[in-house]
Amino acid sequence: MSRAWSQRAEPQTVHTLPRTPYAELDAASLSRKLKAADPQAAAELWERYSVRVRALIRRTLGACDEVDDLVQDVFVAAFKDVHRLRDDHALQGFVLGIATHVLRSALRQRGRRKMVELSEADHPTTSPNPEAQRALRRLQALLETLSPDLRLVFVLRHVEQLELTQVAEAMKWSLATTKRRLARARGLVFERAQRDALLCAFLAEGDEP
Amino acid sequence: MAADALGALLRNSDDGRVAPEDHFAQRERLTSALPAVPGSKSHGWRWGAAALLAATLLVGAVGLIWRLASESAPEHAAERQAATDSLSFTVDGVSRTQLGVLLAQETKNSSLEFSDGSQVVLQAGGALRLVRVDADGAGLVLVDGGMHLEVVHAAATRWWVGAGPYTVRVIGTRFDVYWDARVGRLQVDLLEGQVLVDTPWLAEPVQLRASQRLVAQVGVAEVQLGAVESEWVVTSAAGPDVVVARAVEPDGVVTSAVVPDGAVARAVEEPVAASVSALEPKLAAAMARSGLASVGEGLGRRPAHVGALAVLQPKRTNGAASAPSAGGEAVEIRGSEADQAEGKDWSALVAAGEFEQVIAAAEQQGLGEVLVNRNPDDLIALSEAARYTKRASLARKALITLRARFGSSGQVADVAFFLGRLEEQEGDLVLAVDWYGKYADETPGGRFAEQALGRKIVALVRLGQGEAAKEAARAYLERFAGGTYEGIAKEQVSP
Repeated sequence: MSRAWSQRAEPQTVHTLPRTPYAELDAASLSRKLKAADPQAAAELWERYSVRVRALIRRTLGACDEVDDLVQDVFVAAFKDVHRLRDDHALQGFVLGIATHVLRSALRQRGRRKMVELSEADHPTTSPNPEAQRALRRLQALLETLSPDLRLVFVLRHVEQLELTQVAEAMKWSLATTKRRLARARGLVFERAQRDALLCAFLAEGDEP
Repeated sequence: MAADALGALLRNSDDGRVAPEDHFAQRERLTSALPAVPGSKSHGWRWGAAALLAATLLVGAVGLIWRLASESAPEHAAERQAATDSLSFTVDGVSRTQLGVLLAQETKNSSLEFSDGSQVVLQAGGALRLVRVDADGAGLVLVDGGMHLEVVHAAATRWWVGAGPYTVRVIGTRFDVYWDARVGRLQVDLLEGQVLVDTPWLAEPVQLRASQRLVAQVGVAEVQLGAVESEWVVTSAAGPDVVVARAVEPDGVVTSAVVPDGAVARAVEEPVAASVSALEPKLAAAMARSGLASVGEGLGRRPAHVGALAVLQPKRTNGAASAPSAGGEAVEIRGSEADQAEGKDWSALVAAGEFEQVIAAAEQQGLGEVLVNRNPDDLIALSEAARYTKRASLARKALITLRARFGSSGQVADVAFFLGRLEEQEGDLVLAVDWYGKYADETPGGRFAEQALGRKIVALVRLGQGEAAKEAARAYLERFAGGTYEGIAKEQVSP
């Protein structure tokens, strides 16, 4: 299902760890193993998608204590609900859909809590550029101002780089609704980024030849 | 593109990797927590004393799996350990000291028993996470399925159950919780005591009393309240910006609160005396006489948009509502009778330019009652009158309420367009685009379809959303070539 995911799915396997017996299986075969409640298949599911799911959760929620538990929730739910998967080839999309659902719940729950200002140490980042780090924190704060759905649709499209149809499937919306809400999310992000001097400067740098 | 540049900033900040040992430990944590056989749960399962008894008898015999954090993530063991002075607990009869995930087998319930006498029974096939245990109680997250709780009350008791975006706060009580993670549906059946349910869209928690049921659905800003055993009133889908709370009493009386336009409502069962001020005098008096106690009060995140609330009862005709009095005698509530007696037709008044008269009549009757009881024609007339007299908030309330009460087809099919026009007039182009798009989706053959698409293009251009404008322009030209907005549409699609 998910082309963007497929393109980045392979490098995530941690080769220093013991491989599972199902490392060579294609998605459809792995789905069938999961449906047969084979725990080794669950381990392989973890190998294939956990890094991507964790990245999605962290990029959406920021670094927080609940990330590990949410990743676990995604895979527990995937294992429990895999019998609902009709197209065995669509395993990635299935996991993505569950991750999106878990994230949506987490965001809605979080919406009722007061946002806590995070220190720099709370934002692990691979970027060595301090300007980019500052811009990143501003962007995360900006995304906090969006509703859960708008934040998710923005992340899925512009951070995870999913196709519109993939975003629609993950969000369980029609394509038209997805486009409309994405446009709204983009509009709000752009408008609010324009009001933020640091993000403006960051974007301007990107425009320079 | 700015969105892509910002997306890349976030994408490059975190690749999702963890240290190899953590990756492996978490994989073990997952596989050690999985049940033997995945499969569908029994939706027909019912809670009650029998289930609790059955579960208790199964102590030690069920094949649940309790994932101990220390087995998989030693570095986090200390923080996952229940507080030393906390309640102790057993999982299916086996004493545990660490927090974890409980997955019941597909055919057998599992139980958690706490040293204060409190009990939790997890439905067969369900999954829960015990995330906190201390001296005052415990915090549980129901990942999927149902559970029965009996919490022993003490002075400082502090229990809560999370399920998706909802949280049930407990003091001392017996209740059942069912959470269908797949569709995001929560059901709480309160058998005894009192609980508070927090939802993402209500500023205040919903309070449940004994024998009441609460049903909430993720994605629908709606909470249903009613008697556990009563027949449920199926509500029409409310828009994302509408809160509708309904209660079904054992005697069949339905109460409902509608708050339009992103306002936040509290739909709480509480003594009438505490709520009378929020109601229209006539309505409040009738409620007091009837002993009804269901009230909604607007508590807005955006106070300017908070609407007055009213009570809706099922056997209504022409805006009249009847409620049983304390003595069983029906009390007629006819909030609009003064206007009806005068024979005023709001649509005619609007057509005659008598906008202020319409507003005055509505205010005299009480906006809350008007919004809930008036027919679509009157509400459309009210919205028009409000719009012409620059009362955007009132116009918005009327239109949103129309959609909440009557859906988006037939007589009220054009309401989405009117909302788009209102938001455009108010300068909120993003919302305007949203409503125009919604109208075009819902009513592709509607009388304002061309205008909606055309205005959407204009709004998108003004927002600087070139790609979206181009897409809308293509859609417009396909359907309305030669139309009023052809020029601007062509400008967007031309290379």
